[in-house]
Amino acid sequence: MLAAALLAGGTRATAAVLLAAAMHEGGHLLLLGLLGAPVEGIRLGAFGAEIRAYTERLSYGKELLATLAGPAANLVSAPLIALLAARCGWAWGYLFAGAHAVLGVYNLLPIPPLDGARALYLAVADCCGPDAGERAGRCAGLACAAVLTGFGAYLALAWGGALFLLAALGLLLPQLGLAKKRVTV
Amino acid sequence: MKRRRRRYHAPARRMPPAVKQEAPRPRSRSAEAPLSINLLRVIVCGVLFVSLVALKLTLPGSLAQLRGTLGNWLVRDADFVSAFSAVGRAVSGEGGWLDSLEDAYVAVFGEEEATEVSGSAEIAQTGAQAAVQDETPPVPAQEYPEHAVLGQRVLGFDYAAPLRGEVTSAFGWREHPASGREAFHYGVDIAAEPGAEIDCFADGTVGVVAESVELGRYLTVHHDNGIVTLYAHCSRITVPSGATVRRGEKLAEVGETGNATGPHLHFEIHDGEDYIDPIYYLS
Repeated sequence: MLAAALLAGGTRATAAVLLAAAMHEGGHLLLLGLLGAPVEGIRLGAFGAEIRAYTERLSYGKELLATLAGPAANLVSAPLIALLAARCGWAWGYLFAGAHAVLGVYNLLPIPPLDGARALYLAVADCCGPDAGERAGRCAGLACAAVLTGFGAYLALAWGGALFLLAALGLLLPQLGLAKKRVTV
Repeated sequence: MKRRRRRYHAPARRMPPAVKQEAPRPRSRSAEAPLSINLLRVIVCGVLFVSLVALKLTLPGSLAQLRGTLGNWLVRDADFVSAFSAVGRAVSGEGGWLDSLEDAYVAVFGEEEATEVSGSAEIAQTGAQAAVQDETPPVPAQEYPEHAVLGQRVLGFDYAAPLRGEVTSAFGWREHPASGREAFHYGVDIAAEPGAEIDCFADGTVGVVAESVELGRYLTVHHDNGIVTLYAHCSRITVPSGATVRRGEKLAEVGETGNATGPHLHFEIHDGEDYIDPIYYLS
């Protein structure tokens, strides 16, 4: 994914996204620490970082907070960095602010393994039970990924670049069970 | 974010027992990948890395061509630096949200423009804005795509060549060095040593300072009368966006960033939507 980002966006855009990702994971870690959930470690995979934590002692609500802490870190940082860029005349600040905003919004998509899907599961499970949560997550993930794939296909035809289509397929295929699917709590 | 359970806990701790049915949270069914899978991943990554390094050393031109082709297939001329910056400006409140998002859209997907047009084409004229002086051997109008201007225009200000060097690729139709396809070249390529100083064409204000797959590190400068110049494939840019610059002032250094097969400056002159042949202004 790093190679694809470098090819697609260049070094500066990639660096901005990596810093936003670090802030994102930092948000998760901060809340997990405050809530007393031990963190086993962070695993860097081909498509991003995974935090492995013991959350069995957290209520659904608290784990929801920890899940949303990542996107929240990005969405809170974005305007702060942008304001700093505006006041100090720091041109590259807008780049970092934009990367934070985009990453924060992207992670709120209700598509596993993004945080939005986890948050949806926790919210529905809290009121209707874990089975309902899993059903809601599966349906929302499949529908959202299918819509994005359709849009990516349209862009590939109209614009000519395959980036968005490939990214959408990377989210859709696991929903269809064609790739190796992990079911985690 | 992934979670791993050590043992089952009664969900009554998590939900009001008087209201909710007790239902255990599903156990995690994920497992660590076996050592053989991880070893295979490391081997595949290692082979890929060694292969690319070997290709870079033995066939640098081919790798540049492959990179250009892959980049074109994936993202066309999308400029994600400008797109993210536009989103950042929207978040800061500078300008309107719609204007900033439109800038982001244009940075990624580009504006509608005539690129390689085979067959008939128009000679774009701006009417009363400039006088057209035809000082070159006549080129049939139908060979030029829309917005590519035949002949020289009066710019209305003093200017100077941004770089001294050999023009290795002129304005007009050519075989693209990376893709091998025939494409219209909207500027001139001036070869120079890496790190050579690129100077400002004329007095103006620095516009975009960004990086893209195609252009590498590039910048634009806005001059009088709606003229904009573009300097691409730079190794280093020494002026920030928004800076006021003078004719002859250093803007950047020659490089081969982006889709380039050697160190050179790609220089364009835009008059509104029109592309002017820079060759008339380099003497």
